[in-house]
Amino acid sequence: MFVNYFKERRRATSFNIFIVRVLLGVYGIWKALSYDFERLREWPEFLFAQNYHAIDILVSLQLDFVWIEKWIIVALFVLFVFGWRTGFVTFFLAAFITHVGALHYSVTNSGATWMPVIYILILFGLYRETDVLSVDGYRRTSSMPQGELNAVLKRGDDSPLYMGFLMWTLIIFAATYFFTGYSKILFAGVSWLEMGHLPVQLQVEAIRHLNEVPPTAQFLIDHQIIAWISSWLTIVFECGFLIFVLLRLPIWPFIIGLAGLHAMILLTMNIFFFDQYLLYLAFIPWDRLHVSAEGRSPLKVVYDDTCNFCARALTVLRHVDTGNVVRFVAPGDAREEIDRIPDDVDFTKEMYAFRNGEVYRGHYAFIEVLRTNYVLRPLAWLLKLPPVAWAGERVYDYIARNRHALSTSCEVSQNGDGGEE
Amino acid sequence: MVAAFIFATFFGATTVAFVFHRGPIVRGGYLFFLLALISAPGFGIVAWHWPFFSWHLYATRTQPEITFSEVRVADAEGNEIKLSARGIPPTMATPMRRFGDKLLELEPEHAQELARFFLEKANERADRLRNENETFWRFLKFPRHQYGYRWSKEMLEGLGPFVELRVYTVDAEFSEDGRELLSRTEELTKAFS
Repeated sequence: MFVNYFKERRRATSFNIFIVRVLLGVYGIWKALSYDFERLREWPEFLFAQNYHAIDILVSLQLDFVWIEKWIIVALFVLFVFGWRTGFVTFFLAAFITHVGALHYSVTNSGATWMPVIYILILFGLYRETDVLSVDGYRRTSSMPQGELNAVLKRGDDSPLYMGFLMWTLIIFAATYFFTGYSKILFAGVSWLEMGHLPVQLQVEAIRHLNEVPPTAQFLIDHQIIAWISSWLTIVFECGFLIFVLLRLPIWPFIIGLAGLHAMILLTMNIFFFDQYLLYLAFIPWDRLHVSAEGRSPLKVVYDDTCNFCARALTVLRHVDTGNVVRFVAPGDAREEIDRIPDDVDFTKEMYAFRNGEVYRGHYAFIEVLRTNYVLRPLAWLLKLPPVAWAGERVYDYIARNRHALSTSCEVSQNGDGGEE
Repeated sequence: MVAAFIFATFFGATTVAFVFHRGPIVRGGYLFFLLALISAPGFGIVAWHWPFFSWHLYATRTQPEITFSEVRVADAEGNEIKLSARGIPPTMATPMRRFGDKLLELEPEHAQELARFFLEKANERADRLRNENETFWRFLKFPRHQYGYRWSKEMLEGLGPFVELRVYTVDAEFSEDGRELLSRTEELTKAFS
């Protein structure tokens, strides 16, 4: 259900990193657009100048440019979704969010929910070379000779990729939970776990901030044993998560438990840690949500192995094929590998995909590769919708006609084996 | 200046790590540096600055007797209502209570400036609630970190423009098991107009 990346440090593809990058990027865009960073300018300036967290020099200038920073953050997250220059992008995103977050923290504490994002961006930047399914992944293939590209496509499985980014994300994420649990014992001792403490805490929270006791809080106040068990479970889930990660044990009970804890905090205190729910998604084994290779005939994709652009793009795209059901075939080998090729098929014109006698051409062959993974099926469905498909066919045709011009190198043999001349 | 120094040092070290990220010593060293910076405030060893946090959420034992500040706004007739943080973005209910404490501690001119700002925002919020329907787009916004107390049109009925901001000191006592509110008293500590 969730991957303990401290135990499973290698994966066959970079698909999980791709999904986390896209999710984190979309989440960042949504969050940044929703935050009222620009409203900070309306607040009395001395609050920022006196604040312990904000950089207390040129405060007025900093506040004047906060709205620009917000849009820079949004723009950088857009580039991040596509995986363009992720080293540069993640570094500046982390720095801008830190700066704006510290200013924001001068007047409210909700900005602390940005902190895990900052750490994850930095970890992504440190392990950016393992993010293959991206614009950067495509750019990195420019150093690969055509023969090597074709060999990679034909060979299929490579040596597994090290998931350092997701492993460290999990450790730091679990560590932040650990400190919240540990600090309760550090500062309050076992008295935090005494019967009656949680009901008092709920009452105090309600009288100070809510003006009324929420029904779920009232239920816990009335049922002290359940409240007492909840206190213990809070410490167990917060502290146990990191311990289970480091002992390489399954983490799903803790993610489920912590999701429940956040739901209870929302219902009893009206404080919503929505970000956490999105961050749990980083540990789902997305690469296992694929079409099973067992009992299925492979999808055979015939591509132009003399086209450098095509081979580079497919070398990246093959990371979608987490079930290992796609076979890339050179036109020269197609007659051997594929039964019953229709007469109107012209391998020099476009890419083809074959499965169980079905033939998919160009744009639709590309869609079939995406369809091998259930996670990408909504995208595949979208690409099949009439207006998108119409545009997609034309874009594909344009690229197919100009593929050699788009290639950085086409100095390859035409005999289909992909060897260099 | 401490915040500026920490920001510059941390992102300076991060620059080096990003440039030499393929070197196992640089990357490994930086990761332990990052883990140590995240852990130190978590263990209560050092104070923290952005982008680091103590993660000490509800870490102390909550006592059944409490004293806290509550900020209210009043119209010319003296009718008052507890100030809602919703009209003063991006703040929320918890920091609003702390601003109540702050209004009592600040230098008089700063306290006056902050109180005027809150009064202005409270009037703007009340006018918006009375005159405009909230738009559908608010449902598309990222969820708030804190819900709870907020003004409604009904709550504002009978209230005129706010002319005074009042800080009350509230004392409350609950039973040891939290089931009962034993007492609640409040005192107007300071008023700003």
